[in-house]
Amino acid sequence: MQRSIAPREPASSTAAAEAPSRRPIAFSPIAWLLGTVALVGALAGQGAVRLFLAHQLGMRAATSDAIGILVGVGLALGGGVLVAGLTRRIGFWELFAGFLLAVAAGHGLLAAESTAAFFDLVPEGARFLGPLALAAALFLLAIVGATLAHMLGVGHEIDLAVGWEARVAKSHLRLSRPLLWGLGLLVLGIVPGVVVLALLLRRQRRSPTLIMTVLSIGGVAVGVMALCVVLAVMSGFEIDLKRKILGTNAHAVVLKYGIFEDWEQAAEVARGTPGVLGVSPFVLQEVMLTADNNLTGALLKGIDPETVGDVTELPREIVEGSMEYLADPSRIPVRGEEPNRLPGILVGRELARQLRIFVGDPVMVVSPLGGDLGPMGPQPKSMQFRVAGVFYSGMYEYDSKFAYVALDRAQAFFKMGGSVSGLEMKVDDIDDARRISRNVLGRLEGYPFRVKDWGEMNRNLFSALKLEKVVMAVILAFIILVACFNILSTLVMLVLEKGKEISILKSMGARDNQVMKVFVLEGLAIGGIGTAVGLALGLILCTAISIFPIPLDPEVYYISHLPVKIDLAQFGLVGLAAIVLAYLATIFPALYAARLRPVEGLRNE
Amino acid sequence: MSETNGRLPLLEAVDLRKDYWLPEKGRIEVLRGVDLRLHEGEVVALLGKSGAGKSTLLHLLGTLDAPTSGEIRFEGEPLSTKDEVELADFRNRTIGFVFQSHYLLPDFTALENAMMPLLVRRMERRRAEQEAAAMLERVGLGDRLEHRPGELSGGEQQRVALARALATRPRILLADEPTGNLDPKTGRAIQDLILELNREMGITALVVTHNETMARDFPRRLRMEEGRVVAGD
Repeated sequence: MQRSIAPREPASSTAAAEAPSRRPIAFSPIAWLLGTVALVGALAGQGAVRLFLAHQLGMRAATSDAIGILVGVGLALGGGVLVAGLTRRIGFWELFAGFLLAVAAGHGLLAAESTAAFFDLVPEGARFLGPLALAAALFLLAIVGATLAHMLGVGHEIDLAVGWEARVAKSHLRLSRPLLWGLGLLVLGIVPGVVVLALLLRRQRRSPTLIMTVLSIGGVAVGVMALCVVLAVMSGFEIDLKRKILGTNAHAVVLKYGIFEDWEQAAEVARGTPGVLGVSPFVLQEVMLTADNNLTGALLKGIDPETVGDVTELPREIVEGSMEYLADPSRIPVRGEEPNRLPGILVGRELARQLRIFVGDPVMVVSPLGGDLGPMGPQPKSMQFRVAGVFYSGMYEYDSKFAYVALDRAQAFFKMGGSVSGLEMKVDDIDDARRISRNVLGRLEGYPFRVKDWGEMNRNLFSALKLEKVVMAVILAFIILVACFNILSTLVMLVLEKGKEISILKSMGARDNQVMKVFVLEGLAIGGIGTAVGLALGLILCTAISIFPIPLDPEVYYISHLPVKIDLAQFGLVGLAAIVLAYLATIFPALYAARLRPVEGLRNE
Repeated sequence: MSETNGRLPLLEAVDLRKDYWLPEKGRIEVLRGVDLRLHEGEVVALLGKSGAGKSTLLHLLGTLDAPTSGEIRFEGEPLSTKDEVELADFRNRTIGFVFQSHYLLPDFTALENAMMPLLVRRMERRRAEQEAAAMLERVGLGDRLEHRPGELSGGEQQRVALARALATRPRILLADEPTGNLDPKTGRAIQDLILELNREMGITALVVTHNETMARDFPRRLRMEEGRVVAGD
């Protein structure tokens, strides 16, 4: 009878046993080691590459940062791919163990003086969180790499095609052409888009997943739009601030320990350095200004009226009077009789307002030092100036604190002889100011000279701005994160709804990774369309803000309208981040679908 | 069956057992040691009351589920040594399934549905279209290629499912009550088609049914009771 058990031929079973097994490996120490090396390497590597490129090769900071970050991203992604290939599954636990070690290593590197500079992207206030956040980001990237590799069959047979998976995904999402038109219209005008979508949803009421899909797309779009607009406004503020600071201050200064008398030779050297556009000497001291009964503290800056326009915007910021009056004070219009004999002084608009002075009024400059020695010690020294002009830079601090006089007058007043406080420089690329000023220092053969660029001079302000922007981006990225949970729940619903279909596909021989592809493609479609819509909406909103400015109270913000800077690279980064988050959201449902046993959907027949 | 002696069976089940755990009832033994041999070119009816374990046996033979114990061998090679990827390829190349419901993809045309297993295999689209069209032609749907499942009758839908199962030219056809949802006349036509295809293509087929009269047309019948194959003739 056929039911009797025939003795097995041992030959065939041993042959099967000898064939290399492609089963997943339970826990692979080699993969764990490699994953750890990749994550720690990415963590330290990005910093090391940035420092090396910027300091050893003298590359621009923006370029070296970008290359360093790309190296880190590449190492993390590559590590994920390797781990997935070695373990023939995603290798989550190996990577997670690697992540924990990377966090420890990151804090170790930060604690060590010589390697702490690897983390100079991390704002000061986030020293503890820095390595943790960086390692977490790299871990997520490694997971992205590992799941992508797993999905594309690394470790088994590489299978990049997505032909039928895309068709099935499209049929699940019911992404019909009218739906895409509706979304397109939504971008152009809210009302017609909503009408089209509402009509569409009415017609296709049979599928709750369609409504879920549209809502998920909307969630991603809103998140992306919010992040784009807020970052554009913050960039606008930053650029406005930078413009005002750099309009009043030079891009970099050359200073000298001791008395700076040989400044003319130093200025020649600086002028001859590539990238330096202009050089101008200055003298800076704190003084008091009095006019009638009004009194205020101020910074008195002696400038060379001939060359100051090469390094700052001062000549173009004069709103009353003229710059030329500094060199030739006799032309200052004086109410009344004789031509003016007093030297000229330029004051900021706020300062003029505080002292209630106008062009042509006399001002007393008082310095606590520099006077003769009296019976009670050093006596203050004072000198009369006449207001030659009023400037308006837009920065309250500058307009209320700065006063300018001609260089020789300042030198005489402070008894400095021929020496100056320093040289101001203007460079052709403000983001490259640090490197150019270092070059100038090199040509001056270093000590006793020293240089400072605008970033150093305003470090607190700009690092606060940067931190604010990073924190804002992180907070707003949570909106996208929430939207990605929408994607996750939509996909879970789809997987549950399509259980039978998954079983049938598997009975036809669809591999796990092919089923995974179907659902990853669905999630990426939702995320991708949402991101595209969000970016378009963000772009339109930003353009609208720049065309129809939103007024602000200039007394409070010192800026007349909401600034906005459309930075396409920033938009691109937001889009990329949204897509990566959407991809991460697909991993759980897609793996769940892929690992369903084929019989699961067939059982309750 | 002396003529099978010395020849390796195409598909063989040895002492196949399958248990389920249900929270209320505890362990349920669905299959209690099934031994079965299918030889190349055979067409076999599997009879039995509902709950006898026919579908479970079919799922196990088609590697849609793993047995609790026992072994399935294809051409003498045990399937338990294969990993998920190899099992998927095995299902794609060697086995064709037909179920009681047609399970066609509703948004796809008949042609696209029949093409699916070929596309899963990464066959080039044009060739897959030709093969699937030829198979639909063979099951009598040459004029229904561009129709969606919703536009086809129940018999036609089951024919598309049959064409889909056979488009890959599998060695074994496993059919789980393919006529169960059809009226007797249409069901008869489907069954005749399976018998015809067996003669024509030499495909080995195991057809689950609980219809005694229809099963009479099969050259070999097996009967299942209480999780065991109790009689064969």
